[in-house]
Amino acid sequence: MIEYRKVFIGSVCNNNCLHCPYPQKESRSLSDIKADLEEKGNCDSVEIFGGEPTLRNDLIEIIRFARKVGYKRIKLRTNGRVLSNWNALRMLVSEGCYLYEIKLWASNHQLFDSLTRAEGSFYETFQGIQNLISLTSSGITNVSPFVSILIPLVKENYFYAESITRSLFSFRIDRLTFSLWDASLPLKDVLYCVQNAIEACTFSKIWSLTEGIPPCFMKGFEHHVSEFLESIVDGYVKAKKCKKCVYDDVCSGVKEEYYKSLGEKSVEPVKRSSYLGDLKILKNE
Amino acid sequence: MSEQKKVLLTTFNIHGYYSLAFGYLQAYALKSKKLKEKLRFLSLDFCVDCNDIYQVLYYFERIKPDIIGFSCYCWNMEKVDKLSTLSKEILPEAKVVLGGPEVGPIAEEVLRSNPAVDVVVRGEGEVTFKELLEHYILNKKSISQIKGISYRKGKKISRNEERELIENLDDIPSPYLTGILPLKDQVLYLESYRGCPYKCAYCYEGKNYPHLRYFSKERIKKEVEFISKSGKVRKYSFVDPVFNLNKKKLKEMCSLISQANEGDLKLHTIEVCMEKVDEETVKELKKANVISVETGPQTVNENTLKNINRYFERDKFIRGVKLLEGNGIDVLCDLIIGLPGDNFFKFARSTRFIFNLNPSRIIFSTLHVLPGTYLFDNARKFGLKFESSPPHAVIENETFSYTELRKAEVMALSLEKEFNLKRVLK
Repeated sequence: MIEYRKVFIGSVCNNNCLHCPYPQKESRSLSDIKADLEEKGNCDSVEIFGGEPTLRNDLIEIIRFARKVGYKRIKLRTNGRVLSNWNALRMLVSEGCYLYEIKLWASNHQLFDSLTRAEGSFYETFQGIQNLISLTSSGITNVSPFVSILIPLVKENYFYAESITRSLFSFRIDRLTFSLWDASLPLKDVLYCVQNAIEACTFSKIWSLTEGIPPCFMKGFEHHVSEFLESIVDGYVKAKKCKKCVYDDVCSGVKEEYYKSLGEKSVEPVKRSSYLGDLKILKNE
Repeated sequence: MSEQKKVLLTTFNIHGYYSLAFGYLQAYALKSKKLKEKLRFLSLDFCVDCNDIYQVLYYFERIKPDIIGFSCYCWNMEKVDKLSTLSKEILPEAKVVLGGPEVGPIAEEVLRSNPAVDVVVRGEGEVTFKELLEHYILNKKSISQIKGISYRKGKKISRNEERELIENLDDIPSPYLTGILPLKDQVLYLESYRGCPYKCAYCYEGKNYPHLRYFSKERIKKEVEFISKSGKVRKYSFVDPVFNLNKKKLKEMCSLISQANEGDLKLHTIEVCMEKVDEETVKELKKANVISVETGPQTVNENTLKNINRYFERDKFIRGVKLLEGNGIDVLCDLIIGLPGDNFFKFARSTRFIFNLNPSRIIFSTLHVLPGTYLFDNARKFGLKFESSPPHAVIENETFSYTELRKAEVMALSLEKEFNLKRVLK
């Protein structure tokens, strides 16, 4: 629910993910990034994403600049590999970067590394998460960082959504997001796996959200639909059938790629919902 | 001189805090010269999260008190129950007296359920406790004549008549000026009045003490001067339910605080009615060196506000928060999860309202249906189900199912941490 100004730092990365949305690896200039940061308006939170932000030599300068222009929350979207290096993490934290979102593909190294196409990435990412969680106990800072995990759901890993989730329980993470990345997935199978994972999260007091899964398929799990709780984001379209859905006014629709792939089958209009009135108010405020 | 009786006052607090009530009880009882001669007070504040009952029991055994007084709140009652039972095992002669908001409204029930308890003090405790000590130590007055208590009389439980409130609060000597309570930075609390004109359904203050009674300006001024001159305290607070009750009182308070504050003593986390905050209020609060305030709205949903009898005016609330934050006074906003009338998405709406307002800090808490509150007495009306034993956390109500409530709590944990991290980079 917190609004973040999103600043792209370029697509250069130390992973070579099978499902990466950025086929071209291009960097962005520091001056362009600073210009983006300066356009903050009333927003006091920024999310720095790439590519892999931690690969930039000038990341500390970017963070310092973000602080200088008044951002109070600086979130890094990262694959977490560089965070396995204590010195790098210590530096980021000492500069005021306390929020992290780490992408996690799997809970075993074979699948993980095959999806990142970077040998050793699994161990580095998990070590990065471990380091983040240990920051306070190791005495580096007395501020516990906010650690959220994003699980991109693709055909190779969706079946393991719950086991990936369970592998995180000992880390005391703060949020988990299941993000639908693969438009060709059989949604009903995905839902089964994701909803089991959501139940496991709630049981373990970890807040979980979905991203990209059309809300009309989330009956009984509406509370976890980020599109209901967050502001509407770009890249969503409405199907024709959406007009028949009670959520039409409050729903952003489906991800564009998903609609392109499945067309009208990508939605299933909802006829009744006890949440509608509240969702309308929530959306309009 | 005959041997002094030992009166031990003890409780479990949130880490670092100590009981202002114990200061008042001692200060008032020690007004009696005879009691002063015949008794010795010991006051022990334990941490509810880090001290277990066996550690405390060790102190009991070492001290061997004649009377043990427990201060009871929803967060410590479980421990108090166990500890009072154990203390009766090793110190069968010691009288066990319970007081505080968790037990007063259900005094007879407490006595019935815990055979170790001898007396429960109902409501305001200073005069009642003093009379009880006079009864036990000086053999003055029969216990049946002490107002404001329920007690065990053989196998029966007796309830004496109600105790009238102390009209002139200055009758209670200051626990700070008398040296009873130590001066501790950050956790030093003063009080300028008792009672509350509001009657929020989840709170016992307004329901049980609607009539406002004040400590004198001179008394408060002396206390602030004393704290200021001590050099031991940088930040302190007031426990007043609403610091800005009305303009006249606010001006008086802020003027006397600013006159008494000879150093750079800062006033933190005072409760305010946000809708009453205007430019003039901010000016006054700045004068009193206020650095942070705490406020509601608890919820922003109309039906829920009606159910809990809570005053909320959206535009005035927004104006107040913006004025305070804009003038360098941190605002802490509170939201309660599980109020009757709310549900998951209504709670999300309240959360979004606060997030958009962007105060310095947000505090989420789950509803506790406390004895002595309107919600406790009218639980059935709202379909409120809650733990019958303390801390009386809500389980569900007719609009908020347990599943939704649990989800809201888990979401709140995550959002609170994320939101409040902005304070680090302040």
